Amino acid sequence: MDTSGGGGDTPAPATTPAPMAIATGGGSGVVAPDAPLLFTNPTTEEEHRGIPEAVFFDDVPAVGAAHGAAPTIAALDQLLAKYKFWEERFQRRRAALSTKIPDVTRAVDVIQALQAAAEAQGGGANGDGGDGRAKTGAAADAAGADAAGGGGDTGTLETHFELSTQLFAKATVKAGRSVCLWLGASVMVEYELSDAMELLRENLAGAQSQLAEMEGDLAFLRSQMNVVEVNMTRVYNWDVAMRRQAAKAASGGGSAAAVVAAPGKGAIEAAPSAKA
Amino acid sequence: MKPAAEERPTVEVTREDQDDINAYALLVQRRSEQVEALARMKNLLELHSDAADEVSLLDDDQVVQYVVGDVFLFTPASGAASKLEDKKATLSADVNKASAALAGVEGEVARLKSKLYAKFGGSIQLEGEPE
Repeated sequence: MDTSGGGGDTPAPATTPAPMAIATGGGSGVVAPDAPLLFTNPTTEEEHRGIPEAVFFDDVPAVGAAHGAAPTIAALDQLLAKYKFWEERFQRRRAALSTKIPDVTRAVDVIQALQAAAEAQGGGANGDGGDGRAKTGAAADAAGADAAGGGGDTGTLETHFELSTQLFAKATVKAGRSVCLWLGASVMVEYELSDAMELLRENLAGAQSQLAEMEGDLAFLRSQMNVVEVNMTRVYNWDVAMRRQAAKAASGGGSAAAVVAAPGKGAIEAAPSAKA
Repeated sequence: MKPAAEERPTVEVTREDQDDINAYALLVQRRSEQVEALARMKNLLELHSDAADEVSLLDDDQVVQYVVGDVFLFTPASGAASKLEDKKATLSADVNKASAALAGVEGEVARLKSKLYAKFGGSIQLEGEPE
């Protein structure tokens, strides 16, 4: 919100920096004047996917005096745009992950139902074929596999399953010892129920930890954006204060009605923009 | 109109304040996510309770269709009832956990808010009031 009070004395858009040589404190990690203004500290590749950390301005007058208010704000604005770009990418990846998790959970539920049916009626479905490997030609020859597959003493599941959107067909599913999992890349592999379960659980755990990592990266990005925004506001306010002092000095202490507000912002604003 | 801005003392923002601001922003974000997730869980719990109530009116050997994954599974009412009870137990445990987590976040939000307002007063504007 713009809290401007004065009418005519609003300072012109900060094009010319007011190089008032006051209170130039320590260097405070400021780059050389002619290097591109980045205002970031590099992080390692692994940490936050190599995205640099924003520098918090310990000493705003020093930064403002070194680079001028306008170039500083412009550089910060660019940095903010970069962070926003990353944020969007991460949000898209997070969305993809969050749809994957319920998908895998549903598959786990179905396998549990198959296992329950196999155990309930087959009894020996686990005991017979305890080799616990993906079913190969060799394993299928084993006596246990024959008994489970053809003996008819395994459980069956009666279902309505979705043939096509809004179209359901009735089907009786023999709860055998194996299921086929679609692995992607046009590959489907037949697994023992327990192996399939293990694989899916691993996938689920992997997706969940990836999601947690992504949340961490997004939190990091948001914090960097907050730092940049607060920096911008502080530099702007400093600039306004400098101008006011200059105007006062020029007009011999005339009461210049000045504005202390950043463009479109309160003096300081922690704005957690409500993004779902 | 007299500009109040001129009299307002400029409060220096320290690194610690910046950290608090960052933490506040993240917490407010997390709070809104948690509120949403909690509402979703509560709704799911209610749906399962309703289903359990319906199933309890049926004979035990009557067959119902219970959704597992993407398919409707023909299940005797007794089996569906016990599955529903299991699911209800898991869901209410989830709801309790989420409520506790939310309460923790609320407390931290309130603490940071009073701390930041104490230091910056009118010159800070914190968003994220609960509805």
